[in-house]
Amino acid sequence: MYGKMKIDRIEVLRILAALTVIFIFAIAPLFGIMYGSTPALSFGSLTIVSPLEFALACLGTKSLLTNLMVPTLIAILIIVILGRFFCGWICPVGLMLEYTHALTVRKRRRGIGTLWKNREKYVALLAVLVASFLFNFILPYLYSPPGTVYRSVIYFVLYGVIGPDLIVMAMIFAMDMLAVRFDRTWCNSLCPLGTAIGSLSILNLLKPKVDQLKCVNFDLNCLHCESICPMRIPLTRADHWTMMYCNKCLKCWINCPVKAVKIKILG
Amino acid sequence: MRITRREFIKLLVEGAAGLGLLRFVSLVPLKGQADVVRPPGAVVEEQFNSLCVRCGICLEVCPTKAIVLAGFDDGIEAVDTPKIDPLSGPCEFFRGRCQEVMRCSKSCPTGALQTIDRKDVKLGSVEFDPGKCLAYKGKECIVCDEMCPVFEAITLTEDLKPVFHEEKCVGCGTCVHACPADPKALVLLPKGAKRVVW
Repeated sequence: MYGKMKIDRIEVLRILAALTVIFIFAIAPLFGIMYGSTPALSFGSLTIVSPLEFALACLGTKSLLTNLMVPTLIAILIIVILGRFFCGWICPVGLMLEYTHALTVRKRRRGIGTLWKNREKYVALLAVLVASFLFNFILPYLYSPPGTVYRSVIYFVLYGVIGPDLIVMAMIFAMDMLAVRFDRTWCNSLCPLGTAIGSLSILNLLKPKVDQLKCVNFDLNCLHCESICPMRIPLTRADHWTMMYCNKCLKCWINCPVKAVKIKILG
Repeated sequence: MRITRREFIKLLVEGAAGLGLLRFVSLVPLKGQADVVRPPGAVVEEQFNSLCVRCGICLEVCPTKAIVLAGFDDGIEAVDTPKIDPLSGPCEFFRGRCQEVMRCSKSCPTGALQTIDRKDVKLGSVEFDPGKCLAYKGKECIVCDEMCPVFEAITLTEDLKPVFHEEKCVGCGTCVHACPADPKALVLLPKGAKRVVW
């Protein structure tokens, strides 16, 4: 049960989803269907702007950007409904960290949900917002690894070189080496984009719920779901606020030995 | 507050990563104002770096591949913002593929590039080095004059040598892209660029 992790069918689906999104972002501009990536997406007359980028642009220019309100509201609506679905199924960096850990780890950790007292992520988010307000700072944008990966791929398809993002990509790969030891620590305790998305996920559909009658935690001290959760959510005792950081990877649902974890589609 | 060994190691690694990041940032030159040529309709430099969300839509829609991403040598505030590189392609907003619509300005989602009238655009101006020019070396070359979309921005003397008029140049970079000399006799600079006041 705590041996080397096997990769389930649904996890192959997740990897394929992330790769498909990269492929679409790289190929669609060549046919004029869709432009841009995570910071701002333009699909015909529909524009979607990431809420973190909206906040940073407003703070940087010290004004309320009314022309970006509607595109941001569309993004916020998606986030309110789906929560951190993006982090689990689309973000290539998060998946890279997770599988670097999964494929190299020898001993599985047991039942540690460390998300309770985890406050670094708010500090990191606040730091990039303050930096944007004070210095018109670029680093917030480098801080968003999925955007960098998409931009590099798009740039490579258009021009045949990776461009200025090469250094940032090297940093991401260095971070990936840390994932051998630390799993998704970047995602659940530092990533400003992830924190921004998580803080906005009010409705948060598709989240797991542990059926306390079926759960064998109290008898056998199982906690398999908590040890397998890449976001380190203490599932058996999680409340609404902790569950906001669930990235919908469905690992707990598949791996529960007694099928006590249910995915709540509504409510 | 109790700290377990695991948390202590985590804090150490985070601190080391933070210090490394600060060191990395301090190595990159900080400039007050980026010295790059922006696409047509760009707002003033201070606001541009804040307004641009680095989505890359402008360089995807550019039909001539004139827009490239600014690198670390252009200052850390300007990394990944769009800039015009005439070596990659000419900006054909004045005449050519973008004449009807300036596509980058039209598709910019944030308003860092504003749609303005074609006559008000001045991206910069071209600096000419006669020492590198083929015509001044005694060969027959009037490529820049033939390619220039602006009336009387480049004129020819009687013995077919180009003369540049900075005040009429719109900074599209067509002449720089077309110049056959190696190294190029022309450089596109943001000198005298008209930017939209935001």
